[in-house]
Amino acid sequence: MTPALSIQGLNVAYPAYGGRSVEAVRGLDLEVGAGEIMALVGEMGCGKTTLARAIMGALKPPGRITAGSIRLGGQDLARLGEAEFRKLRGRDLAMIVPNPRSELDPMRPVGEQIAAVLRAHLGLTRKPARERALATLEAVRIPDPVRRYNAYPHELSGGMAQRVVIAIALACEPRFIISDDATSGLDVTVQAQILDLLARLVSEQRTSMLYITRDIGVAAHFCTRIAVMHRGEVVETADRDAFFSAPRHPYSATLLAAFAHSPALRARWTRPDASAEIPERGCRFALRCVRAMERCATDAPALSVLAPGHAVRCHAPIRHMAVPA
Amino acid sequence: MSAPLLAVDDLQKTFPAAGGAMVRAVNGVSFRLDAGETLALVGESGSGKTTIGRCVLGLLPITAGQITFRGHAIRGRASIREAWFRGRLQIVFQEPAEALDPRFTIGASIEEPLRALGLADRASRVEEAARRVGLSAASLDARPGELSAGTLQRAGIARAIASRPEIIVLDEPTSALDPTSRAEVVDLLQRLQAEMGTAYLFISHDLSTVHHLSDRIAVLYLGAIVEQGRGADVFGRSRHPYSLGLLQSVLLPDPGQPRGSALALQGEIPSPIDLPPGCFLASRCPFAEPRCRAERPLPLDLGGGHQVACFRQEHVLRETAVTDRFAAFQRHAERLLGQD
Ligand SMILES: Nc1ncnc2c1ncn2[C@@H]1O[C@H](COP(=O)(O)OP(=O)(O)OP(=O)(O)O)[C@@H](O)[C@H]1O
Ligand SMILES: Nc1ncnc2c1ncn2[C@@H]1O[C@H](COP(=O)(O)OP(=O)(O)OP(=O)(O)O)[C@@H](O)[C@H]1O
Ligand code: SF4
Ligand SMILES: [Mg+2]
Ligand SMILES: [Mg+2]
Repeated sequence: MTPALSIQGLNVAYPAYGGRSVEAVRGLDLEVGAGEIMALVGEMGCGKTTLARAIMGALKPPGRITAGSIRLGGQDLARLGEAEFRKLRGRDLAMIVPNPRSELDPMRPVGEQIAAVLRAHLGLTRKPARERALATLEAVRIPDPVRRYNAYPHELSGGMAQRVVIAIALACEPRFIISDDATSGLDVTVQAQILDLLARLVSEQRTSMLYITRDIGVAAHFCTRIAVMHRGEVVETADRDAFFSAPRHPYSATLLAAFAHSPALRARWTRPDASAEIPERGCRFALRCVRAMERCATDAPALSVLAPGHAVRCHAPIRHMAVPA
Repeated sequence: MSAPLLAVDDLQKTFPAAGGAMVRAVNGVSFRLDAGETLALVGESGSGKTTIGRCVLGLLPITAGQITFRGHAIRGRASIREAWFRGRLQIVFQEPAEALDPRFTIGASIEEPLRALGLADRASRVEEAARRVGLSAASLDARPGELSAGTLQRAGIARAIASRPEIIVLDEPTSALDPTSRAEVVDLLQRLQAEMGTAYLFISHDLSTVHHLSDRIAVLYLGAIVEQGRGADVFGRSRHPYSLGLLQSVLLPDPGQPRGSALALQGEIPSPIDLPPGCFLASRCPFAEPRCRAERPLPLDLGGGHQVACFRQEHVLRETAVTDRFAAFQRHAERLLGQD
């Protein structure tokens, strides 16, 4: 089966005047299957938003794609012009970001903002657009949608505003949705409701989703597959259950160990002499890695498939008892 | 009997809102903090955690109730400026930027409160604080923009401990950090407490860190404590629908430990301007009965300092099987990552 989205060898750089350019995404391979929710997990500044914006054709200057391809359906988004992107965004491709209020027009009732998207992309006239916008508000479980249709963004709570932003993203039933940290600002009880909602809508609309988060706990319960990103590279990708029952990359183990608040585990997976520097050669994790060997300082590991659907970028992947190396 | 380190009794705090209305941010909160212990204040956004912390620090005048530190009343800035209080209560913020001026070196920012206190041995105190948190000489000379988030938070902690306070209010000190630097800051806070005997009022909505760091926990909802007690009681024997809902919403990185949906709280937090007449949770609570909408439940003491404010706690206890999910995850992670 062909994947919904297929990224190959993607490089994104922010060139700096005079100084060294930042390679925020490096040789990145990632496939998201139809109907799949792929979690993309990684620490601050590892390149998650850069990747999302590259897919959306909305990189912040001076960022640009320097190599690779991003295939969605028959098109290579890495080579698409702005005019073509404008047709795609909102209709086939949508993105949800945190801080919902900044996404909404403060001067316009929220229902009209949804209807406007429907008119622009699906060519609906006023009345059908209004009806479908109302149905979308209902789909995202906004109580009393008829009254809320005329509400202004400031009249809504954070959770409600996030539902409206989701409603706008989903109104045209896009083929692919990116959520960039979109639920992190919400309270846990509200976040739980929004995640349930997203999961239901994704399965009803048979969309695919790239769910970006720093919270590996959310990833464990919400996604079908996971990709762990470290300094611009995917270092491990697997089906959710395979990953959480046998993570193979030392960085994945470090992330999980940090979550467990276990002194013994932390000691085991933390290097006392860890350095934040990114080495010029070899593995980009080598200076923080408890498993680093001589070879890691010189040869950059490739993302290699260790089991069907489970790929790891490491010279010394972790072996688990039940999993043959 | 000597006075407790910190005693908060029936604290209330309101803020004026538009149109003559009142934001009732804190509605009758009582707790104790003993020397050298950590009490966590947990609850969702707007539940009043920061407001309570600021009242304790004397940064906000209180509306009603009483706060005493070693028997001395704290009632706003004027009282806390008395020489007797100086430097005995400090704060660490979520964003170290709030305490660290971008124009100053880190060393100067650590020294600044000591200067305000008129202390003489400032250089040696800055040096001691930097050593305790593991800040290098180079970091002391750097400006905030040049350092990582984790290092900045260590500087924020150095600034707070330099006056050797007896209480530090930690307002979400790890929320802006990545898991690995969060774990480092948590380790540091624990080590400092063991070395210096400082009591922490630890404000957080990260329940997993709270579980690890706290001796006792107070769960807040709309400015009222719905449950408080030792960690083992609140995490392992909770009988308040809100604490249970909150605990169940936490997503731990183990798909084998699904979150419960039976106790899911519906809807959102009501406005603190129009507080419901009965139990504040009644509109969202899966256990509510008519009485809950009419009367406000008082905290009931179950022994060992475990207090629960819910009319239906016996029923809640019968209907729910609580397990300490954080401890279970820790055991799981130790099995998973301890071998190879
Ligand atoms: N407009 C820009 N100009 C120059 N460099 C940038 C720009 N945007 C991002 N970068 C750099 O690219 C890298 C990746 O940033 P990005 O925002 O993609 O990370 P992220 O994974 O989304 O982080 P976070 O978890 O904090 O959102 C960082 O080193 C960042 O400094
Ligand atoms: N200066 C103020 N004026 C008016 N209302 C205020 C003020 N400060 C806080 N509030 C209100 O008081 C309530 C409690 O706020 P507080 O900041 O203490 O909550 P919190 O538990 O710290 O939330 P968070 O987790 O978002 O930090 C909120 O409804 C808030 O809007
Ligand atoms: S008192 Fe009633 S409404 Fe409040 S938490 Fe208990 S059961 Fe729920
Ligand atoms: Mg980002
Ligand atoms: Mg706060």
